[in-house]
Amino acid sequence: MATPGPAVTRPSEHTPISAAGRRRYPFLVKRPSRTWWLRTRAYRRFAAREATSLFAAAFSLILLTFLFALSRGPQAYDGFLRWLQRPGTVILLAVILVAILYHVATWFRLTSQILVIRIGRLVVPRKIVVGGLVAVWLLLSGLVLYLYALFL
Amino acid sequence: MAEETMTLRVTRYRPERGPDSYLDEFDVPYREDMVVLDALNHIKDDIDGSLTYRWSCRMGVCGSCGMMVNGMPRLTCSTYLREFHPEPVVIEPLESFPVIRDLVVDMTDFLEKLREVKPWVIREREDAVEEGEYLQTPEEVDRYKQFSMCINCMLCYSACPVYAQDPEFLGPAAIALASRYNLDSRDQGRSERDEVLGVDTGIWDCTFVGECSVVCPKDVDPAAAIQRTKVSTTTRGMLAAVWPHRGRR
Amino acid sequence: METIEHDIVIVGGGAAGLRAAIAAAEVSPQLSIALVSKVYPMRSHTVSAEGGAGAAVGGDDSLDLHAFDTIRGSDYLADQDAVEVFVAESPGEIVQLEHWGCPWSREPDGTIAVRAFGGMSVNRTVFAADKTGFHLLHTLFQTSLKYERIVRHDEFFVTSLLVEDGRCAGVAAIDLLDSEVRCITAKAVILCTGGCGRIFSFTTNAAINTGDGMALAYRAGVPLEDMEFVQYHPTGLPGTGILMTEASRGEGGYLVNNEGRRFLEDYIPSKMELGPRDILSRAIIQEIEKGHAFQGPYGEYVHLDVRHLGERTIDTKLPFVRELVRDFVGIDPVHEPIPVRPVVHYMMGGVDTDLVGRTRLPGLYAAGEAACVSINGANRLGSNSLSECLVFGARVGRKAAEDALDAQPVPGNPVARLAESEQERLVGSYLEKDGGRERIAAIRRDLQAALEKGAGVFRTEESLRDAVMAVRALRERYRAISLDDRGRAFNTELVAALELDNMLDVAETIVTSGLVRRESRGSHTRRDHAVREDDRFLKHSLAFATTDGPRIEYSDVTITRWPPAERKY
Ligand SMILES: Cc1cc2nc3c(=O)[nH]c(=O)nc-3n(C[C@H](O)[C@H](O)[C@H](O)COP(=O)(O)OP(=O)(O)OC[C@H]3O[C@@H](n4cnc5c(N)ncnc54)[C@H](O)[C@@H]3O)c2cc1C
Ligand code: SF4
Ligand code: FES
Repeated sequence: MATPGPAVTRPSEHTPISAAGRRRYPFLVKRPSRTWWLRTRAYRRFAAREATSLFAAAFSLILLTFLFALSRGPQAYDGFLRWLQRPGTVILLAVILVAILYHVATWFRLTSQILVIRIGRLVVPRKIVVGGLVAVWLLLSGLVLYLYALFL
Repeated sequence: MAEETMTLRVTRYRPERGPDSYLDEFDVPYREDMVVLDALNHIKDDIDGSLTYRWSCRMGVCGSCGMMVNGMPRLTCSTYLREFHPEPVVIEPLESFPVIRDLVVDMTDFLEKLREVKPWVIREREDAVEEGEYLQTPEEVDRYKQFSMCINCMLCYSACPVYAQDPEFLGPAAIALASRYNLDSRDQGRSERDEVLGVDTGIWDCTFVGECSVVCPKDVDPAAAIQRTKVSTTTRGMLAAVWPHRGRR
Repeated sequence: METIEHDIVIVGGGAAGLRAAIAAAEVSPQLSIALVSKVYPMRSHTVSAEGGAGAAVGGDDSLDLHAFDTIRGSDYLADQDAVEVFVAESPGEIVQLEHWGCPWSREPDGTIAVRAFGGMSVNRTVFAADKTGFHLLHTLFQTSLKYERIVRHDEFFVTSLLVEDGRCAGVAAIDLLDSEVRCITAKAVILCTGGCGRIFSFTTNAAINTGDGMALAYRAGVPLEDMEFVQYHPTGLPGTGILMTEASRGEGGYLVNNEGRRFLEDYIPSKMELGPRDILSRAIIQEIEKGHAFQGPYGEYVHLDVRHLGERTIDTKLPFVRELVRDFVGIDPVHEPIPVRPVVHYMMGGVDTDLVGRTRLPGLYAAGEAACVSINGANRLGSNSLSECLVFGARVGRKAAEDALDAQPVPGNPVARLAESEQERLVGSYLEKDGGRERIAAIRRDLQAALEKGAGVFRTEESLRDAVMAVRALRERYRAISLDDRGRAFNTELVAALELDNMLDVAETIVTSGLVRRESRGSHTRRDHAVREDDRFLKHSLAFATTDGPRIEYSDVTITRWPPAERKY
């Protein structure tokens, strides 16, 4: 209710009066949930994108182990190769491959959202940008394969 | 002929009634061309005058009528009931905002953030009006136009899980509007805006969930604004390190 | 009761209010300026304006030509000194907005582009695609954030003017958050509250356009000028009333009847689709009466056809039209013609002011659609309103600032007492009122129907008399209203009740002024008095509040260089 007597406020700079009043108001505030990322499909997709990055990390670890083994001499290297051939490892690598492919696909989609290519007043449509990115990727992969064939 | 009806489940919150929200159910007459807002107006006019929500233009441009409709942030004046008919529709206040009453949320936070990003043209020297307009080609307008289309409807904030967890986050629309001025050929205030953008609670808080751009009714694409700002501040930062006079513009 | 002191209080955060606030802030950094608005400023109705803002900026244009078009469009009822000021200052305002960042559409060389509009004899409508009002409003709002001395009171609803000792010394406003009245005192109060299209059932206007400022001034003894002139826009979407901007015709769209014919050749062959709004609206109604219209669930309509413009032009010049038609009609205007019918759009009349926005009540000013300067006379030309908001918003802001710097301080205690009794009134008559069972919405609907019926495009003595009676009867029913909502937190039903109160007052001035203007001029077309009668009615009407309804007086029209002539196109 109204406070008795004329209380005079001289508005201070920058703080809207309403904001000051608002802080005393009994707002209903929901606490953010810990499982927010399960709530909608889009969030689940985001979570999948982030989770698959762990597989990319796992693959880098395997690569590092490989280099480490290489530097430790032939015995360690052979051991590493043997580990690679175990069925469990093969399954793991297959899973990693699928996850990384998924992750890569999300990145193409995201990159096309960030990258705007303008020709005059026309903006290159996102589909074409994604296509271009995929083309560059295929080209680079081809190059790697070619080099591999060259040195084999 | 019996009139077709449709059920609306509306979240209510009335501080006088206690600290929790509750659900109310209303049956409204249904027509093919009714939007969610029409149904709310029907309730307010003819069933329960105490139902509280904001609206004004009912043409998708004033930005007042955002609510959660079946779990998604939507402009209720441009969301047709036929999308959900004959299932009931669930109407809730926008996520992540303090609720004032029923479907009305408090957006003071956004307005403060908006002011922080200095959404006005900053120039070293202001020309007098008599000197005429600053020239700007249609191509130059194109560069920032998309980010100037924001109607401040807050749907993006309510779709953003980062904002939900960290209310300090500047958020999609404020960053999009900062970019709008940064990309405007008439503006020279980029470095001033960088002070609020290039920090933890600015662009770097964003994990690129991308939902802001999905829910945005005006195709502003705030997610792109944020990521592009990340790219441009980083490149300018690096340029400034190797070539001190280029980094600032 | 909390008293908040300012030097200037601006009621309304649309184009006019924001422009006034910035203008006042630029006069002196000493001034404390309050911007009070019942919605956040960027929600103001200005946001809906589509087509553009008129100003003589093009090479083939001149101030005199803009002035003449405006005066002829007004059916010679505009005050010509006001028009001269208006046309002279609008180009500068357009550039000022450009400097503040407004994304005006451009020519390839980087200069501001102009487009054709109804009733304008050359291209002079500056635009930002077809979201001109939106861009203009957001530019002004964002620019206003720069000025620390502009203090906003968002979501405050002004319920009355505080008049003490013959001068306006502030406003009483309820903070929607707690429904408490705040006493906001000031040496100058500026009303920029926009129009009142909502008193009609079929309107382009937003929910907030309830004529509050007009009613506030009227009750404080200031007359409302030329209220009988209500603009019908020829092209609204049936049902929703959403506007199809005049720019769609400016860019080359056609109006077509059910015979597939551009029927305007029967009415205004020299201008066709670019004729002024009053003439086009009448033409459409006449086509409907001749049975040349299409039938639809929301009444008869004609077609607005933009298909021949092609997808490219539609997407660059009229993207919003395409968006709106797709979203709200479910068709694509690139492939199908758009159904349209005349719709209530704009109030030429408003609070009587002079050229710097002063009213007859010292301390009270007005600008924008709420005011009547008058540059619009009996019919406004499309795109003149946004420019009017800018020009007269700036003028009133500067004038009020200068006056406030010289003015005596406001007598705090008596003014606070006025606000306290306002609080008691709100509690007694609404929040804690016993008895009554009239619903607000029911009265509002009946009011809207009465106005639609009695004060439409064509009017008669009988229709207007019926409307006057209907409004009086509704005023009686209003006494018996009862609110469902007695809560104090964000009580929008209380606001709706207060708005309805304002709508009733404003409606009464419209129908009463219309009843006694027994001639046809501009938008006011009487079937029983089909011609313009300069001898008797080359005059502004002024509606004064009395205890038994409005008293209508007349004042002279200022003629400078354009003697009244037949309005020919
Ligand atoms: C759909 C549409 C399209 C249009 N297109 C054009 C166009 O292309 N060109 C053109 O020139 N004109 C156009 N117009 C007309 C023009 O938009 C308006 O006349 C103009 O925007 C009015 O601006 P304003 O500042 O006077 O009022 P508004 O923008 O209506 O603002 C009114 C303000 O007053 C506040 N207010 C009102 N009552 C109260 C109260 N009791 N307490 C507190 N605050 C209050 C509101 O919150 C709001 O902020 C269009 C109009 C419509 C409806
Ligand atoms: S960016 Fe889009 S969703 Fe976010 S406030 Fe602006 S218009 Fe709304
Ligand atoms: S009511 Fe204005 S955006 Fe929906």
